Amino acid sequence: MATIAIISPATESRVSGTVNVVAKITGGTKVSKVTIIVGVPEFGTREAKGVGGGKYYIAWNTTRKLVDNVTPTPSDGVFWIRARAVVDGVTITSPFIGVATANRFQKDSLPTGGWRSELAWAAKYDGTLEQWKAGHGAVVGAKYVQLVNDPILGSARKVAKISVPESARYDAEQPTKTTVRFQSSSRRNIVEGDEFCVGFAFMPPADFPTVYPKNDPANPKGPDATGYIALFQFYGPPYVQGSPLVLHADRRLASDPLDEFVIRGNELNAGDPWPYLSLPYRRGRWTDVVLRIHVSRSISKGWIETYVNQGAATTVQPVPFVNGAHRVPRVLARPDSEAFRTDMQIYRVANRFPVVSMYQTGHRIARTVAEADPRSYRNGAKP
Amino acid sequence: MSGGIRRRTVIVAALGTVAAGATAVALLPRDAAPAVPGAGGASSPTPTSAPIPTRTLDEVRTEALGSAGMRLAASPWSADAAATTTWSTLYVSWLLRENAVPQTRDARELYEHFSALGQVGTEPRDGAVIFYSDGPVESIFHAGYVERTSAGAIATVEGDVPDFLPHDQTFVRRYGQPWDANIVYGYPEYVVA
Repeated sequence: MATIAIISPATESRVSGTVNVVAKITGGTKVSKVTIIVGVPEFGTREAKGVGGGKYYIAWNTTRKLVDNVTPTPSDGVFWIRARAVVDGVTITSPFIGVATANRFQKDSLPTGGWRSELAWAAKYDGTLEQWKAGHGAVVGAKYVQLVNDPILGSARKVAKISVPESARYDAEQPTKTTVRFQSSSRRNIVEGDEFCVGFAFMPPADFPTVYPKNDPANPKGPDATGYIALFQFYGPPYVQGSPLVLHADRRLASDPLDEFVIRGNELNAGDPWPYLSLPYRRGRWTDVVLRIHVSRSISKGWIETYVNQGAATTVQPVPFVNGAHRVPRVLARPDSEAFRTDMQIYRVANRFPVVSMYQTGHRIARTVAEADPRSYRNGAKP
Repeated sequence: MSGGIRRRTVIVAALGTVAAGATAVALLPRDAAPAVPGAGGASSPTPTSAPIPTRTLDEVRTEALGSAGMRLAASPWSADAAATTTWSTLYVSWLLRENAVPQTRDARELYEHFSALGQVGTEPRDGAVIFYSDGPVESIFHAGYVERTSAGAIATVEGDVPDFLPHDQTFVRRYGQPWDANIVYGYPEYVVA
């Protein structure tokens, strides 16, 4: 059986400028369709050229975005690379290598950073709605919130039941008229070097909608896109670019799976081969999430760890990424980023859904994973 | 229950199953005779508890959709499966446990079951089993359930995905279309209410 492997660059190396990515096929006789895939397959799949000896290569300009090979990249990042070929009629795929680009910020003296006690914060769900609102840095759409007993845990925990109608788009507090937004924000005080855990829990009700991209044959309502529904983001000014981290229901392609919430890479982290996190809706059940983050604009300093519980355990559990990595280098700020906050959301494009509802609770910023864990399955795992 | 079943008609998920073979993808064996179930080192299929199908397509479909998002642990199809093993075929054969399908965790073995009965083809049909491979039939590695087909859409429900997660963290996922081109279908039997 033939095999294929990336032989250059070396895994975990730093690369800059234009670099040759070389794959080698061993064994087999008839070779075709040799591709090297840098990051997202949709953008980073390149046909490789043969150079003899079973070697194939592409030239990768690490200073340009994969999507067009022209636009400068806004940051360095980690790129996961693999190769694929058809050998004697069989598709073979190489293991991943991971490399980090090194085109920017090499001489920056960024703070080592760490946890700051000033970051500690928690939304207050067990008081009045006014108390809940006042405890946040900001809230948009508070009138669509009810604080109720947990549908699963009963009076042991209070949760926010949020139901945002399409008509909310006309509310004066909505920042734009093209979106419909519920948003409850933590204090906006997270800066370069900060290290913290943010926890939250959400439960989609039975009628939480499936989302569709444009021209998706699976959409029973026709070719129009529904757009995304965002649940959580890490964000702050200036708002000239998108959030560097969003958890949302968002299908860009008809081939994307249905009924999942995802965190995808973005232009700051363009090297992911698949969504950083994929969570099935699991309507009517809690999903607990804890993100442990070291904020940085530099790929050599920033990282993220993810912990999730959808009922498999009583506490959140680590989720691996490529090659089983749990702590993943991540760029979650820009050189001009001001202080960030974390947002619980129901945020969608206007005129797509009559109403979108969700239960949310446990929004908290803490030092440790255990402190941030919403513990929705405290009474026992329910796989 | 069986009294009611006798009044039902047994159908195959796709009528005229093998006819579509002329446009077969590389996956299909070309001129070879149907493979023998259990060949190639795979263990023999466990006899199904129901020698004839006793469930309708809608019943199986409902159960498939109801299991979306579930993981292996404590699932009704987990049986004695270890968390470190692949379980896409285990899930599909559990869905079809009352439809004369062998209970197995081996995707190729399940394909060979349908192949031996002449119930394979390249045409997607409601209630079919979808098999993914690296090209030849010997390389089948994953199975799913075709929940529904419509114009341009082949909706599937598949266990043990996404494949980049450990098997104890993968889940049952819904797709609006197959995620690879190297596919072939097996056609289980259902009863019609």
